[in-house]
Amino acid sequence: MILSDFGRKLYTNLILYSSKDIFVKGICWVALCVTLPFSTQAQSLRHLMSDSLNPVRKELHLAVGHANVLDTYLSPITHAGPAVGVLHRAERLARWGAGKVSVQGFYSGNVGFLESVADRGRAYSGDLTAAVAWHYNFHLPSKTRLAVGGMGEVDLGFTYLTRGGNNPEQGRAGVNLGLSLIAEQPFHLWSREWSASAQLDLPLVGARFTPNYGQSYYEIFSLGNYNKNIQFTHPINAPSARLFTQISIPLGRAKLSLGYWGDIRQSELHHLKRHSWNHYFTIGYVRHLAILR
Amino acid sequence: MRRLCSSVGCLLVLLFTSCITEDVPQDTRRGNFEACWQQLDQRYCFFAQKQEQFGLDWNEVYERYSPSVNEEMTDHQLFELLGNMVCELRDGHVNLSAAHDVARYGKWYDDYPMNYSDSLERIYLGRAEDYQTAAGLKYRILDDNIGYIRCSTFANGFGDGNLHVMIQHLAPCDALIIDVRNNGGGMVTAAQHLASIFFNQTKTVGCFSHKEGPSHEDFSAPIPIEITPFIGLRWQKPVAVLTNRRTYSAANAFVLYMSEADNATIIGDITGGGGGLPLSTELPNGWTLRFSACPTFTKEMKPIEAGISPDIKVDLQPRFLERGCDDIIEAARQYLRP
Repeated sequence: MILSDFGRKLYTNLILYSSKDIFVKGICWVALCVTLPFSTQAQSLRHLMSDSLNPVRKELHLAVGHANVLDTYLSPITHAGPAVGVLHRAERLARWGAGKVSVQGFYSGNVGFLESVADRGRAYSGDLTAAVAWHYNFHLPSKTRLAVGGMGEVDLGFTYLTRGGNNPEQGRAGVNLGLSLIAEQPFHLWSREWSASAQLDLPLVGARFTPNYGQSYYEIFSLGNYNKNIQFTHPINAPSARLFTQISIPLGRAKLSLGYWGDIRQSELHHLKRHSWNHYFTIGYVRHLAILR
Repeated sequence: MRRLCSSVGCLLVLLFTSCITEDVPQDTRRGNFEACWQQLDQRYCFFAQKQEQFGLDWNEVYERYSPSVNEEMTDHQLFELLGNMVCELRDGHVNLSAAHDVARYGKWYDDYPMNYSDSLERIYLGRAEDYQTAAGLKYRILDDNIGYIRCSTFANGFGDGNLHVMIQHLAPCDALIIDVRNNGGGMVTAAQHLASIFFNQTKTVGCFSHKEGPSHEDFSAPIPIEITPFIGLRWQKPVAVLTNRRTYSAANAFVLYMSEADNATIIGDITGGGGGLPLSTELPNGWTLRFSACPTFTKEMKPIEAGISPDIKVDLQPRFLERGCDDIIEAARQYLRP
């Protein structure tokens, strides 16, 4: 609800006052679409019977790992180094789908403190991602859960080279639609229920902002010359994936989670190559809530 | 389910066989030489103009320098070799930067008279209490009621308030002199902002382009550069812009913009040029390579990389220090006097 209000305000403010900026409009539309399902669900919950029960799973993870970043607009040299991140997932059953469809929100942020291999030239890189996915759940024998669905996501990011001169920074923004898969297996150990799960998100089609091969940000934002700066993306020109695996260890009412988060983002647009390979070890907690209305 | 699994499997195979990486030469003497030549070959924007201007053949440059590269060279020797190679472009925006030095081409000003003296500037501006300064602009009213603005850089932006206050102070003057000699540039947005005071309506003052690919001919269609008038502040009286060979880059662009202003006259020497907006990249060993990436043209599509000629050519005359007379400022005062 709050997210949706935020999306609507963002849309109203930015679209009305930046009506010429098609890209901002696009971002706002997607932001609105991403936040809308939560609003719809929250509002529809009011119509539920008071004794109805809607299970919700919320997770928060802290991540520490390694990032490897290339952006040939800034430099042909790869920069790599330690990175930290935070990841939040929330999942609940959808109102529709006879209890077989779940909706999930996935939000993450990460920042990398990078150096070039040759002479320790410093760089920083960061990304914010918000995604929503709807999954159809197959409940297989031995409580195995297999979920398949579609997802939509918005991502914003930057890379900053401390020695970049006139072009020290590259901004990133994009939207994607793709496939999302979840496999989850609970098991008993020491009389407690543990679970292992893995989620794979594969962007299939999308749109991404990129300057043209030798185009400066001055030309785009000061002179207002948009030269194919929004590019259509697909697995050939932007093969990307996100994998999140975890083992949930029971700990009181919540569960402690240990996992691996791999975020592979790549693109080759306007002869400009970019990759951001992030690998993290995660630690977090998982809570199952039952909302009574 | 089986179909789904195969589709996902195909996508995963596609993903894990599609690592996007850049083939960068290794961090060896040869590798750095190749990377330096290749980066300029793909991203530098003035090969056609330089070929026309003095017959530059970038492949011939490669053939000439390549035999000198060997793995026994010291860092300083490699830097000197690469520095000499990038100077073949005869472009002040092309620099190779290492920890110990910056290789740069300087003949665009060293081969010409300076036509500027900071000792003379001190005579005309006076002591610190005699002139005012706003956002890096120094200004005062000369004794013949002509306003004088010394603009030594565009590295910092000018605030609307700064320009308002300065022009209000100079408003009673009969004319204005803007001195951009020895102004090595900075932000073109700052140059546009200052120039906007002298336009009464939006006007096309030049064109801008960029590379769309690694080939020497891969350029975008030129787009117009327009100056939009400053809101609530317009200078209507004559103005002279003073130039010398060290008026470069964003200052060169400022002169281009002012050459389209109705009441402006360019006085002094031909500007140094620098008509390509520079970008930077790196070599495998971490040295930074700066290069002209986006060419600027006049609205008639003439390049300004080699400089802009003044409307009135004036040089400092001999013994100007002894005379305490800046001949270029004096020529402007004489031209502007009502």
